[in-house]
Amino acid sequence: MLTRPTLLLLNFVLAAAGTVAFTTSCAQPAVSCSSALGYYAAEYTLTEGDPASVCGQVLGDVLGMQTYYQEGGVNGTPNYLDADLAIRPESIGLLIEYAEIRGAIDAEAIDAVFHDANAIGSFTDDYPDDKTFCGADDFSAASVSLPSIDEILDDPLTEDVDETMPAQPAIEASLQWSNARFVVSANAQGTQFEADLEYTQDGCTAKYHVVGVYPAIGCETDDECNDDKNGINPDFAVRCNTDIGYCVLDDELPAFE
Amino acid sequence: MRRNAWFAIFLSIGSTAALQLTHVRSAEASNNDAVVTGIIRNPETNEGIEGALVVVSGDKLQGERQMTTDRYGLYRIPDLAPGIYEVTVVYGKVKRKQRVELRAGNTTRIDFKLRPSDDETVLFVSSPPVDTSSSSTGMSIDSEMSRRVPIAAPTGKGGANRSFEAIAEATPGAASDLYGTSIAGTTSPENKYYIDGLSVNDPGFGLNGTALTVEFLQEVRVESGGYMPEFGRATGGIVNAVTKSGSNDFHGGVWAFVTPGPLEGYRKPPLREGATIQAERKLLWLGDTGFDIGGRLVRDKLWFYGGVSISHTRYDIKSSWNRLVVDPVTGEPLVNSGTGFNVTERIPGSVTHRRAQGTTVQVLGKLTYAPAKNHTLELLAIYAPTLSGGNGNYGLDARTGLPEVATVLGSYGALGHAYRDNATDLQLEWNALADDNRWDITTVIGWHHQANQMSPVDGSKLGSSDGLAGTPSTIYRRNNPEVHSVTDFIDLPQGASSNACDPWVNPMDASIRTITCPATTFRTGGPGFLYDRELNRLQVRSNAARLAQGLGHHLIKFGVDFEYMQYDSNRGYSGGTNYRENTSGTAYNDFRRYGFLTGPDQAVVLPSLQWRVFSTTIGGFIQDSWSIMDKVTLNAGVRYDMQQLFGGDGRLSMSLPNQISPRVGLIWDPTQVGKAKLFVNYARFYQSVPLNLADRAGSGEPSIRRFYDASVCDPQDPNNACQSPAAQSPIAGPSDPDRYWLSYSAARTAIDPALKPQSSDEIVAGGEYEVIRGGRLGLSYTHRWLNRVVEDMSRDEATTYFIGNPGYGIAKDFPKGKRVYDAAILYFDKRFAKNWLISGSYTLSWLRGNIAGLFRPETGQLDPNINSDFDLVSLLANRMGPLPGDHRHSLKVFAAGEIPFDGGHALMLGGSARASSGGPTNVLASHELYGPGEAFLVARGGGERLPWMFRIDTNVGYRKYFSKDLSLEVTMDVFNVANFQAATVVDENYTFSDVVPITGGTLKDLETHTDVAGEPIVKNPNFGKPLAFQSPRQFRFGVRLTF
Repeated sequence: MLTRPTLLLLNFVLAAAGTVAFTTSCAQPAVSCSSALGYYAAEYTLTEGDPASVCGQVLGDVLGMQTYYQEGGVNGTPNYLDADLAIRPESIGLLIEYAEIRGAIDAEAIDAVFHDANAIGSFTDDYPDDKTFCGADDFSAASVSLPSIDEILDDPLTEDVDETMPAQPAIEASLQWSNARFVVSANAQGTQFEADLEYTQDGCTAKYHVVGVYPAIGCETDDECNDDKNGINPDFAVRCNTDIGYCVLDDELPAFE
Repeated sequence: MRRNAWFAIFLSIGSTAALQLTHVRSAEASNNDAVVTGIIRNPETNEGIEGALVVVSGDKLQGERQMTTDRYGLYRIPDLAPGIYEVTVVYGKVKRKQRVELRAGNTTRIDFKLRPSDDETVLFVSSPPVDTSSSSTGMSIDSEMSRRVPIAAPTGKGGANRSFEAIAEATPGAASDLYGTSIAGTTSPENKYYIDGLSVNDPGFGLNGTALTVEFLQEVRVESGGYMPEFGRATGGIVNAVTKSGSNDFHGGVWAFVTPGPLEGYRKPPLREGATIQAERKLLWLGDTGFDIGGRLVRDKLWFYGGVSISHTRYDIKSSWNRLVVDPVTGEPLVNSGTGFNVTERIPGSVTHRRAQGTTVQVLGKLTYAPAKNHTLELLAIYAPTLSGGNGNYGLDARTGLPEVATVLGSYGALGHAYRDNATDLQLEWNALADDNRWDITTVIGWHHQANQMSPVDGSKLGSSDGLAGTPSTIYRRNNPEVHSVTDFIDLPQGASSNACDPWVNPMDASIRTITCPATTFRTGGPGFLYDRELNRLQVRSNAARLAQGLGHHLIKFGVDFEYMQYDSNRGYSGGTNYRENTSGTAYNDFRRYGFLTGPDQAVVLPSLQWRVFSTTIGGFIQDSWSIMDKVTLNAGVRYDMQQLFGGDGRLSMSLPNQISPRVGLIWDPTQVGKAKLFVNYARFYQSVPLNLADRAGSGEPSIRRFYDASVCDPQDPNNACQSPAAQSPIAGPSDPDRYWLSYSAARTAIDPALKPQSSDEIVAGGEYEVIRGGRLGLSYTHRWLNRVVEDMSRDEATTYFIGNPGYGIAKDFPKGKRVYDAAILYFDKRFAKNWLISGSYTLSWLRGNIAGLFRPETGQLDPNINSDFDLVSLLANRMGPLPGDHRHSLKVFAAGEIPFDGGHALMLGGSARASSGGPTNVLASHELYGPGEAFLVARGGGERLPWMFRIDTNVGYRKYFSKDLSLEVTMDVFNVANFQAATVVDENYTFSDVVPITGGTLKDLETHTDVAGEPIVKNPNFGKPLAFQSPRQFRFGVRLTF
């Protein structure tokens, strides 16, 4: 019977339920597109080019990455939905670092030489797609051009000090990344990555498919990669690539156990 | 928020309010109010009498309230303000009267036996103290007790104005913690603080946001456990302050209290390896004064109550310079063989003084209006500004009430701040009663506002480039090859010899020297971190209660509420950055600096970081209190809450839905007359997440850092070149895209999609018996444990974080968050009647786990749900063990009496005695990334337990009654009469070296352990030595005129 108190109760409960129903969003917010900030261990697979050539023999590298949010947020803060991305291979960075140590780069030019080795692209999406992928594209070419550096021999007059410095051949190289994509979720915040790379060195060009996992953990056995404390998400399917000495993904992206 | 959501909320609240208008003829209600209930029986048949008229009247009631008993003889009159009432039963020609004292939040049972042949009789009894309808544990502290027993000590938070949360510590099982009162093993930010039902928690951090003086209060009701679904969003206790109200008569008072510092007992100084500049903190005085008045504007229609309180606290910070005593030949510092400390001597004429002081004003106004019979409107307004520091003074930390500086290793401009902390509260409450008190509906709209500023001492403003606000703070910490001398930064005080700090120099080789006034760490420049915060909470609530019948009596309560919290957080670093020297003195870095990178080395510097974050919470509950056969009461109900937090970009940052809190309790009254009860209760409690999480983790704190060559950059030079390109040092490794800059925290923290809200479960059981009239003896047992914990975690050592439930979901590889509390409490409570009161409790408790709660007692970190407890894999070892609140034994006794003499004179005596066993201590080390005190070297609790702590406080007063209502009293409280000086805090830092913890290790293992660099651990000479002792003996003198 619809007495006044019953009506009151009914109305009250309906209103409360309506309030909850209208506002309930049980899902947690999605993670916006970003790379991990640091070093990835990357495994290179040659897809085009001569495996015997100077540019066709890259097996892997450590890739340093950084996500750069652009201006446009409230009160001068960054806009988390507008992100650029830099990729920098350690192998190139080491050549520059050595050239700098040896004084082979002008002091005024060093900043530019340093930055030219970064490939800068942009994330194409604000949030990951249904399969948790975030794409990144429009990469600038990363390039390096260094003169040859002579070997320094040990000074026989200083017995206690080894002055030996190796030679470094001149290098002219460029890297063009494309079709990059990252796995982005709370559990893998850009920590799995793959992309295509066109690598040109001293006139020779090869294409690779590159798959990376963050962080870069050195290894000799698979067990070292599956140690839960090494920083790699224990849910990831990983193995040790003994050719490059790093833990790498052991499956297609997203590579979970 | 979407428009339809607002519409739904409006619909919900509006519909209830509308029904309140149309369906209800009369009114009055709030969670804090008291209820009187009982059964009218015919003693010959022992059956209930239907149709008896029960009338309740009293000073606190506009008009009178009446109800006719139902066919079981039951009456129940809810929503009575705490106070003294007269209950009159009229049946035919028979009339019975009984006088009762009702307490906040309690249901008092008064049964009557009437023979139709009886004559009129009048009985005056105190009300039964056992609430047989409730299984909640806790305590009511009325104004008699808070005035007569010295509970709120004149120290710490709320010490000067005797705030209500300080007296909550009297509750059985409660203990003081760093930020307030811990209840049932929880941390103080987990409590819910109410003033007249208005939630006054700080929306940002969960602490009490309005530290209202007890002078304005009728009663403080603390629910420590077992409470029903009508109370929600707290995993700690519920602390209700009930303000006084007006009445038909005019009443009021004028008071003044002062605690003079010079009468303090001996303050035992901590014996420590001295810094060159040593500080001693001494209370000069603190006290408060004020008045209140309440009365009528229109008799039985419109009442008012209001008051003003002003409190002031003033400390003296005495600093002195002390130089190392060195061997005149070798230059080696002399070491005291007893303490192991370097020997120092005070430099004559080097003593200087500075004050730390603050003033709080509180203004309260309240109107109570009865627009129609059974309707009451109540308007409450509170304004409470606090100012401290600046103009040559240090400030007081509003969160602890203590001076902001414990040491003075820095310049005044770098260490001192000016604080402004304002609280404003406004609430309108509408109570309606209908259907002969069987319907009881309350609708409340309230607003809590806080403005909190921490500014430089020179009055310059955050973000400005002028004055101290425009000057970066610099932390100096060179220790290799030699430390700085304090005279590198500031001059010796004028009275001291100018060469008193000259280093010892080897006469043979001037390059060999010893710094005699070392500055191992020193801060200069601006004050560093500054903030300007505005916090708001808007709350709308509508509750209804219905008395019904069906296999006994039912009291069904249900309600919905909505809460909107907003936190405008503007913060920054003076001068835009905070420099820190490296230990070799060759470089500085931006230790803290807001900004972000838009490309490699393309920095955007933020002079301040400003976010507006908010949260919405919707809750509802339904509960039934079912009285079966008048012997057993079954309380059962469920509460639903949902909270959503939104980040600075306006987008959802965390969703905490489906907080379903079942609560069920069973109470058996073996006496059937309200003299005893046995009870058992199960409850689940969910925590409301303060907005600090949305502000920091949910919005990001875009930060950048670079390094500066000390040969180019001198932060002390007013024209320093630190920001010139020539000063920046490259730091990049071969695979870092940025050559100079590091950026971090420029992102919202990811949330585990399977995140569950933080909750705890509790089982409480016990019994109570009225052993003497008005006095109840009880025994209860509480078992309370945390379910899921919400915390932030990082797998890659602080580069990326996520928030989840440790041990569950994507954080399943982390240990589960644990906190388990067990307590057996024996208590006795006899309220003030017939000139005396006594209340006491003994608690035997255990508290263990790996997380203390919403702050970290080891470091004081207060970042609810994003503290460092689970942050890094390298920090997780050795966390399980006795938690800081694990005091095994705790005894509290409070008593007061009044001895009347002829001629209106009376002597008042009161006192309290406390004893508690000491808490555990830890063995901590510095962590490579997180710094000092973050790594547990051996298992939690591995240090020596603190000693027992005893305290006796007394109150002696003289009162002169000039008339029934006019009296003058003069009182003297003495706190810590015996001046016990037990250590309350010891230095838990075993080392300041960065060390990897020894999992399962012991203190002995530490002797051979090394730091992360493989070097032997450098032991902190102060490890295990007291940092603080109990407050010394203090006197508080008071005078109060009451009319």
